[in-house]
Amino acid sequence: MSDDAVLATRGAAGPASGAGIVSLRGVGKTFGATVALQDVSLEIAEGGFVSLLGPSGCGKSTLLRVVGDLVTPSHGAVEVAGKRASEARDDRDYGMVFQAATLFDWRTIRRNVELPLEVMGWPRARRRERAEQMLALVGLAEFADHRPPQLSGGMQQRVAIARALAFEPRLLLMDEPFGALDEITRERLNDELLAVWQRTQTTVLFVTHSIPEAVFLSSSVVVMSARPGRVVAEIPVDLPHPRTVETRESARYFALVTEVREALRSAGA
Amino acid sequence: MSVPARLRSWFPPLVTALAVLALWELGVRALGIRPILLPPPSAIATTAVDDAARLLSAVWVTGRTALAGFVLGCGAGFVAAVAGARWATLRQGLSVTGVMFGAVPIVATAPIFNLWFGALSPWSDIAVVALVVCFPTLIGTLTGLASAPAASHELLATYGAAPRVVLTKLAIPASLPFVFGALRVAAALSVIAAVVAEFFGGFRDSAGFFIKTLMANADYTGAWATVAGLCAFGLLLYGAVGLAERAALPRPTRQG
Repeated sequence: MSDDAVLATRGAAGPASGAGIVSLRGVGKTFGATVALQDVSLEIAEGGFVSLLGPSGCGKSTLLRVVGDLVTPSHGAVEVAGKRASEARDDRDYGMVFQAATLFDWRTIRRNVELPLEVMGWPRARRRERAEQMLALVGLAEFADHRPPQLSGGMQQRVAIARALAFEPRLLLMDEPFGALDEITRERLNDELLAVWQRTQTTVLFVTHSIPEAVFLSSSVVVMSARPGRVVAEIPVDLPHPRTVETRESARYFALVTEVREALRSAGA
Repeated sequence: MSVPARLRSWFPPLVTALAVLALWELGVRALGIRPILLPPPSAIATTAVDDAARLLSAVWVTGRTALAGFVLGCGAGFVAAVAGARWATLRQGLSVTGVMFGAVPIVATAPIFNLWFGALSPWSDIAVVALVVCFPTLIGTLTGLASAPAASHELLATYGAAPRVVLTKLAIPASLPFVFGALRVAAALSVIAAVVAEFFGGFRDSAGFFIKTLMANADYTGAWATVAGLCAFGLLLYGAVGLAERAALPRPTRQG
């Protein structure tokens, strides 16, 4: 079976309803006396690529973790695919990619990609087949039998993406996945991530503090302010696909980057 | 590993050991130190060869005790730590209890175990060894089980992994370098503990009893030879742990 055949089945699942796949209403989170998030309301459409952008400490990672049911909100309601976040987690609706690749050094690259499938009880042959498809998707098929320390930081992050998408989650949560990489590698991975996103149709929620990265990748940029973390603007990005080097050099791209920067500044960030 | 590379890795420790022995031999002779205080290595080696049969059997009797205690004690420490990682309430009690047991001196436990198991039972000495090695294994494993980064735990949480799965797929594999570190310490401790236990009524053919008797008869060179035999056994056990570690933890060469 080709990659396309496998990945096409995902699109067939389709959106469950007209509402967004993620729906936050009045979400707040306090850690002791610190207000990390205040009154965040947000709708994310299925198939979208939404960036959470803001300065350090604005609660964007906390917001991502609230969506992923890794942090319980102090106030408000979180709905994912029409369910409570905890139910969505039990239904394996989430793929997660962190700033660190968090690959397990004692496993080969192939078995790292198989990890979620093992946890979910897939039979061995299917796991192996899927891991190979996913590694091909991120261009690392020939590294299947290597171990994580043998790969560069950028390659490790591609493995993490392959692992996150292996079980076809409906929502891919990415917490500054390219934050630790150099600019050149980061731009290349941005291109690759967009290609993967277009092929898999997975909804992506992407945390970053890079304005160019947010604009280049997203269908919508959510701008947040710090202390307390609030949503100050939601800027739709209408750049055409496929996005390429020309996109990065287009007038519309610069206009959007400026618009996002202005929004951040007016938020006092 | 190619043969020359293997030789190279053996070369430095071998040279160091030979240098220490040479220095010892020359120092004892040059300074005229009496053999009763420190016999030269050549005399120890001669005694060891002359008395090889008795020496080997004594070291084996003690080594057997050390090995049995090592397996039981380390096994118990590991299992207790894993159980502690699985059930949080257990873990809080474990370190405290572990330290309490770890702080009990062998000189106190040896006579007590003799009383419990009988002075002529091998189990009294094995129990002393097990008690001594249990503590470092418990602490090493507890540290190792907690060593996986929070992000790795979050990753498994997003898969909806059950606690048992987190343990087998993440915590235990991540703990192994720490566990093997603890086992290396335990390997050396097990031999010490076995000998000390034998001082308090071990078998008449054990190395501990042997050393005690030889000392009483002022045969210090014989005692040193027995100690050397025990050192060799300790090294063997240590080496076995190292081999097991290499088999369990493949270390890839880094690139780039």
